[in-house]
Amino acid sequence: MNAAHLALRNVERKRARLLVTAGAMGVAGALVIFFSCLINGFYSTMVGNVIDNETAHLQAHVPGWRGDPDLYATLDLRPAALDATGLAWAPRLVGFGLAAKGDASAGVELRGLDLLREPSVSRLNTRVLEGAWLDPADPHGVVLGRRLAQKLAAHPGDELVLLSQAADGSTANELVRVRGVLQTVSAGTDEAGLLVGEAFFRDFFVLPAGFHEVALRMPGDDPDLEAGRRALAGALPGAEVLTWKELLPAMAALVRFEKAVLFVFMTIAYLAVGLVVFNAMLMSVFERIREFGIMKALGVSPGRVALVIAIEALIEAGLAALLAGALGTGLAQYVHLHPLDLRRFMPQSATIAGMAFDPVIGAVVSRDATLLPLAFLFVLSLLAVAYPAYRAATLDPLAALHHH
Amino acid sequence: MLPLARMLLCLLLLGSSPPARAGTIQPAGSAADSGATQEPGDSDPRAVALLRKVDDLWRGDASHTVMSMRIKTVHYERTLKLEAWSKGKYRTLVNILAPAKDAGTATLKNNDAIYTYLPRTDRTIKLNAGMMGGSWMGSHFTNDDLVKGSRLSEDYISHITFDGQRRGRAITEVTLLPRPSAAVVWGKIVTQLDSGTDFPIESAYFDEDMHPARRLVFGEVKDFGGRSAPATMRLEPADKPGEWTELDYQTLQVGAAVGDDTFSLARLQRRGR
Repeated sequence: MNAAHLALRNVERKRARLLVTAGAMGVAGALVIFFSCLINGFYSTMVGNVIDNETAHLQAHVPGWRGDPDLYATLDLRPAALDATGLAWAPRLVGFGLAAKGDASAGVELRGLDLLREPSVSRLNTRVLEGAWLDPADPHGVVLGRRLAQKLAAHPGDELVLLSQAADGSTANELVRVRGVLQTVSAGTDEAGLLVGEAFFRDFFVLPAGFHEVALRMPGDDPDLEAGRRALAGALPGAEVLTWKELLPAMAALVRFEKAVLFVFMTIAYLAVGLVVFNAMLMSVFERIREFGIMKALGVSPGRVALVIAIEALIEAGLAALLAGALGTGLAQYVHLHPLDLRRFMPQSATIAGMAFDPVIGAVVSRDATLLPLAFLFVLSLLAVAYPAYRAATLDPLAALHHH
Repeated sequence: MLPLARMLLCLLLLGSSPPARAGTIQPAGSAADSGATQEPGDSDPRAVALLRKVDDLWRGDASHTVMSMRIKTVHYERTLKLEAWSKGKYRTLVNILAPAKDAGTATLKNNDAIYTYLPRTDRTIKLNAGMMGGSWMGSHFTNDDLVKGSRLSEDYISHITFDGQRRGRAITEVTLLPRPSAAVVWGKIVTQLDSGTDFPIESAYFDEDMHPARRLVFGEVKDFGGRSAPATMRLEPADKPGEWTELDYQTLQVGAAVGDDTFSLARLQRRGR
């Protein structure tokens, strides 16, 4: 009779205990998978927001521009070379000034957008809270960040005065009308973002050519950013190309932190499960001391005895994994389709690491979020039976036969 | 003088209402100096008197001036023609006469507040604190220079730190150091005056780490209807070599009749138009 056969017979004899142990492991595993998918969803949403609303996947600037956003530090655009990358791209302009309404005034970051290309790299146009998005037919219509609008007490239809210094040294000043107010997308846009069309920006700042930023968007959820970097750098020689992770290092660190959070949670959850398995296996070994004694007296080697117990544990872990996988992914899929709405706990929009935090959290089932907890389940089961298996393997057959 | 220049000069020279406690003075004389270097004391009545005298040179109860402002940067070079009025230390109105694109733009300084009238939009904006460090009309002067100029005596203590020959010229050097409690932009201002005429020659501004930040160089002395004063003033920022802003005074009437309503918001807009 081989070890697997013996192990199968053993678990079959104690079906109730098998079901209880595997059930406990399975439920714990399901919770870990569910939590893992929830964290995955939370971070995916956050990263998605960053890419959709702020950085796109990659950006190119004149080297050093990000530290000192100089109006004169522009890139020469090469549309044909950028089109040849086959990726979505959009040029942007950035300047600083003052916006005033009545006695209220605030410093603003004016962003001049290519209204045709911008929607291919960002979804800012879908993040309008009040009013409407920019329209090329309304060059003096602007869209404001949410906090900026609050500071100026500005609403769609209101008139603002913009003041700055143009590239030729003259005083740039213009009357504009608020078309829309954005939802919270990032701390920077919220506080000072004032979006305008490219044509208005060029006229206002007397800047006939060049761009400050080229944003690049790649297809897929997790594209090869280095390939994108090579493509963009090739199309804009001399430009500094940065990935969203380099543009927002705090956010990238937060995403890396996700793995650590999951590992800690899995360790704690499985430690509890490990104790259950350990206890069950220890009991099952002690119950069968005479049986193991006979096996050893019949010449079964200590290794084989340990193997029988390890296979028993693996059978349990297998059953638990089936349960955990089905229950965990099922639950996660449900929350994917029906996201948790936490808005009632946080009526105000908030930002984490400078980026908008979305209080509606959906779970996202992924290979990592499912297989990692299951692998952990098997490893922990084997660790938990190591001692009982060792005890059984090292039994003295004579003492075991006399054990009551 | 000229309102704007007065504000700017105030910034340099008017350290001087009754001096309070002195800070530590670092004598600024170089190895080439041949005169006596005076150690600072708790107060320096001579520095106070000297700065008042210089101030009086430029300041009447009221003034009216026309000047040009030439701005040279690495990106552009332009010349503006300005007309300005002032009354007392705290009220100034500057109106841009040329070029056409900026003509009519007017800046009113009333105590600590700065208003800008923009003819293109026909609106007046009160500049907020965040704009104070920004450039005034594209020049190397900041809005803060306009506001803080007349408050220098409250924030700085002045001392004579050199009196003698320097590079073959009789020089008196006055050093302004911030009062310990003052929130100021400059760590030190050193002004050199001609010992014979008491006209300013040059002022050096140092940041809080005592690194040179900018230099204001005064040009030749010109007679403005019986009153002499340096006719040009050139500001050179230390971090932008080759860039400068120069004021060149064409007319100067000190003691001109300037009505109080010149400095009202309503007048600001009317004058702009």
